[in-house]
Amino acid sequence: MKSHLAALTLLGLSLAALSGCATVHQKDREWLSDPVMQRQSDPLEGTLNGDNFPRREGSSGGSSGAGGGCGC
Amino acid sequence: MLNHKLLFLTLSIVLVRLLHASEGDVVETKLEAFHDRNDVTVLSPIFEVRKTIARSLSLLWEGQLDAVTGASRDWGIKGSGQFDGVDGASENLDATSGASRNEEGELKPELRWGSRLGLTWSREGRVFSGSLYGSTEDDYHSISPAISGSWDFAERNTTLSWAGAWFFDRMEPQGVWATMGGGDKFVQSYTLGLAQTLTPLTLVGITTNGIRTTGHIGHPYTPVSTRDSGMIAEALPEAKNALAMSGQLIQGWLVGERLGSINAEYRWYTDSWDLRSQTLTLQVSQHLSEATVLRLQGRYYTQTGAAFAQTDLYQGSEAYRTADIRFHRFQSWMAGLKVSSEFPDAWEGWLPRRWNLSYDHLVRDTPGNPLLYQLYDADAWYQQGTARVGLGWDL
Repeated sequence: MKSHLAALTLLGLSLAALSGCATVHQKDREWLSDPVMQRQSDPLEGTLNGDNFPRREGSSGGSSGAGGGCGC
Repeated sequence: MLNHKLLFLTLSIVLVRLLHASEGDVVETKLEAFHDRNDVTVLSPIFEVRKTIARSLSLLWEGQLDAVTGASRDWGIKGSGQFDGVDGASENLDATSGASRNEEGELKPELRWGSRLGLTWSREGRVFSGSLYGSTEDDYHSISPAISGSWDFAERNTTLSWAGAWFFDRMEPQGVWATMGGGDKFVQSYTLGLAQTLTPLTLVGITTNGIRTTGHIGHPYTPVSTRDSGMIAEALPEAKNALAMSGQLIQGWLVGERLGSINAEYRWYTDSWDLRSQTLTLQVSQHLSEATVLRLQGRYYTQTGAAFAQTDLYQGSEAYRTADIRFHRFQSWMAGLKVSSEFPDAWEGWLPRRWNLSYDHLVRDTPGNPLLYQLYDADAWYQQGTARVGLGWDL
């Protein structure tokens, strides 16, 4: 657990450090706005995955979804 | 009942379509069909309306219906529950999930209806949203306010995001299960995220999520087997604290002029019941044309059991005990395919603008004592498939 926390904390600090570097100018952001470059390009798919997928898989920690049903 | 819900959904879409529309207003719909090895089938239509109501302000309305035509929405066997004919449980209940009605030998769909209303303010890289979500089914009700926001800075190369959601849930077991009690559950969820653009084709991000659950956790539908061949109620702690952290990398490429990408995400989860899980998800997407995108995805998931989740029969004197599969060790693999595209430009009026089709197949194992699962053999493979078809309209 400590190693995971340390690794992710290090990753976070690295990202925070990178945040000071504006590496991509506005005119070069065309590809970043394409759906295939989005973190979540289909909101309804995200909703269905969060609401339904964990209870059908029978998992406890596989989704960021919380509450909203008993899973039974 | 089901017909009324579907009629309501259809009328809602038509009504919104008739209202004055602005550029960017959309209606998105999706129908999900789920089927598993035990002939449990679930149909879940969902719709979402996004409409600009003023400069920088937009409204979101989402509605979802689950119709379970088998037993439990979780894991169940069609037509019979684990207590069927064993302990005299009501014949009107499926017994795997007390809410699954079995009337005169014929299974009726178990329904869950959920809806969300949200308002979003967005201007110059700053976004703030508030929403209210509610869901209801025969034995469970939930209402949840939520807020979220994000802030772009460093010439919009960096995005800091945050979210908070509070779930006020109540479980009310029906029929014979009511004697085993229900109660209120309160869930708090807080999320903090940071995303960074590294190159015109590279994006990375991390997310941290903390969840605290208190009150009546779990449900009475999976009683625990004991060594004297009896069955007693599940007993869970009245609080659970969970922490999840994830890292994500999106790397794009060009095949000629067609953009493609790989989206890799690793998620690590731990909670105060000593349950740990890891999830690795990979998605590869490729433009086949300007409008058509093919996506392949794979996912591996593994979790340990909760500290009190035994793989042997319980004595019955333990402070905490569970036969709920969600709190036991297992691993799963999932593979899927999705195609998204647009209809011809000549299509106008009431016809949809976009469509997508997807199928995901999941396989998971069931390690441990079969009496803990009750419905499945130990060390067996359980399979399920989910197909979705989506349509989108520009208003």
